[in-house]
Amino acid sequence: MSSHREAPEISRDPAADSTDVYAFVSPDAPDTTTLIANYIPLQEPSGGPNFYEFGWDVLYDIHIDNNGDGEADITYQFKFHVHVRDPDTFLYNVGPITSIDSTNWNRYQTYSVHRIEGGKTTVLADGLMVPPCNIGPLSTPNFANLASEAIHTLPGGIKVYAGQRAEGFYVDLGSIFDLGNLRPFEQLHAKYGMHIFSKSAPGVNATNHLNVHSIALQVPTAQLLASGSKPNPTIGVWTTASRQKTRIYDGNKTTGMSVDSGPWVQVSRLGNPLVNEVLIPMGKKDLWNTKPPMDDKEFVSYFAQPGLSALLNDLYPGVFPHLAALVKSKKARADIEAILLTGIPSGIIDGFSNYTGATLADMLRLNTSIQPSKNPNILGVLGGDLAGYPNGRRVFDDVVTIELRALAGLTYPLIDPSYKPDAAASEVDDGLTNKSVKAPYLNAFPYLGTPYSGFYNPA
Amino acid sequence: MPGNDQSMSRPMPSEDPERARVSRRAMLGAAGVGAAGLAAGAFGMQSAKASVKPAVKPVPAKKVKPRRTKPVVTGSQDSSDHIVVHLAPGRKGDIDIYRGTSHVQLNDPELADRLRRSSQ
Repeated sequence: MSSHREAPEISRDPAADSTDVYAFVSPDAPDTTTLIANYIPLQEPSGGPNFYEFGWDVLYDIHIDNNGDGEADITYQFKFHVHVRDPDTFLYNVGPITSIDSTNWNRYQTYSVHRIEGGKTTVLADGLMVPPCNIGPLSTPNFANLASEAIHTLPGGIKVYAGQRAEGFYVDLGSIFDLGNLRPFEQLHAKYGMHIFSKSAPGVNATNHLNVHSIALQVPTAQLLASGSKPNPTIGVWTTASRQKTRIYDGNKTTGMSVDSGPWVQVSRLGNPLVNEVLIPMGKKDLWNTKPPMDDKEFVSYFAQPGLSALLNDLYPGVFPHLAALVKSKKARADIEAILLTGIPSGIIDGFSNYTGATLADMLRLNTSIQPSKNPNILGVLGGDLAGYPNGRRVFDDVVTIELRALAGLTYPLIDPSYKPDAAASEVDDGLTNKSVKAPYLNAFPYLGTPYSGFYNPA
Repeated sequence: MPGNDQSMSRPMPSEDPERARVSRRAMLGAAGVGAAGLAAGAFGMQSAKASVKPAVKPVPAKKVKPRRTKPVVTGSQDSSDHIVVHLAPGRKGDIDIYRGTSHVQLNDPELADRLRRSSQ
């Protein structure tokens, strides 16, 4: 997954598990930038009676670095609260929820938004409503209306939405985690001599009918850039979730609830998709989640010599001979380092740069001066669309294919023009596109589709 | 929203301007200073540098018996009534104390020894 259940510790803590981060110039409001951080992975829509909610004991942050040092210059901080109207019923709702202030809704959430910059904290809003989960036609008869009511406008022309959305990230988990047996190429998978597939097969989107919880912001871009007459238009974006340092179970004899104490400690982090998932080794994944991007230098060897590149050649013998030679040479994958850790300097791709400096830091880098594409290509920069990943990330970008192909050597010529990628490097994928997502993406904020309802997606 | 409801929340660090952070580095730096000040205030100590001596005369270890404290009953999740003391292995004399969102670190080998013995 992009970052769903990507590390042992955080896989036990869905409320704090960041799954995806998106950052893009808003196509319908190009003077703004949309930032989305998703949490609570793989939500089965009918998962009641206690439906999914943000952690009221979790601190959620979206960070922006606007000077390339890998540190947050601006942080938007979200804190959630749970409210129970009637603690004597077991029900989430006692009738249809037809508006966001419906008294039929028994357990609901509100949240605050703070902006932290230059040591100053500004309360942008408090008491904002989270919409309910999409339960079904009786409980949430018009979810789209409820979601619309939950889009709030903050001072400074900022829009915010926090709540359930349809999962927009598509990936064939069943094949990828079955020893990398990509269905379109399964007849070539020969690592273990198990030639049990004779022909290719289409990919299967494992996230169809699953939901996530999104924290989405649309901010006038000028509010995200450094001050000055000519600020760098490229920003670095990542999200973190933090929990308090200690927890005492049975700390409250009246409610049975646990009690947390101590300062907030980062337990989850996400910038570029798939970094902790497939680049960082098992023994370092939990550690990586606790670190800030500015400390990523200590992980650089996993970017310079990606394990998945070696594995591709191992699983598909003879399919990636040039990649095999590259891996064997031990040359550092400076292309991967540039894409994920520094941004791509100018002069490498015509008309494009999202370089933020020499600091190695995993952040989603968005050059905000590049306008949204009128004809987006889901392969982003690889597909000639400079407004897509790895220039930020749009909700529909095919990041699995982009990163698979990059790791297969397709982007190595960016730093060594003499290298000739294998033919398979430009074809390898998991057989999915944005069309594999059943819930349509929206053309307007918050862009991710209406969440799947529990009634119509019972399992 | 209607007010007659039970709410659950944790305090935000940004609700306290002292803890507002520019960056992780700045926050960690400030936290050290803040924690030291809080330690001195909260525990009546003159100083909370690397080594802190208790202001009161220590009770001999043999007189200290484990006691079950009366449970704190609260209708909310305000954790400021709870004080959590942590003695990590291998750090002689270091005592971590958590209350609300604060963290105070003391170095008091004598107290640490007494706490360890009390817990056995």
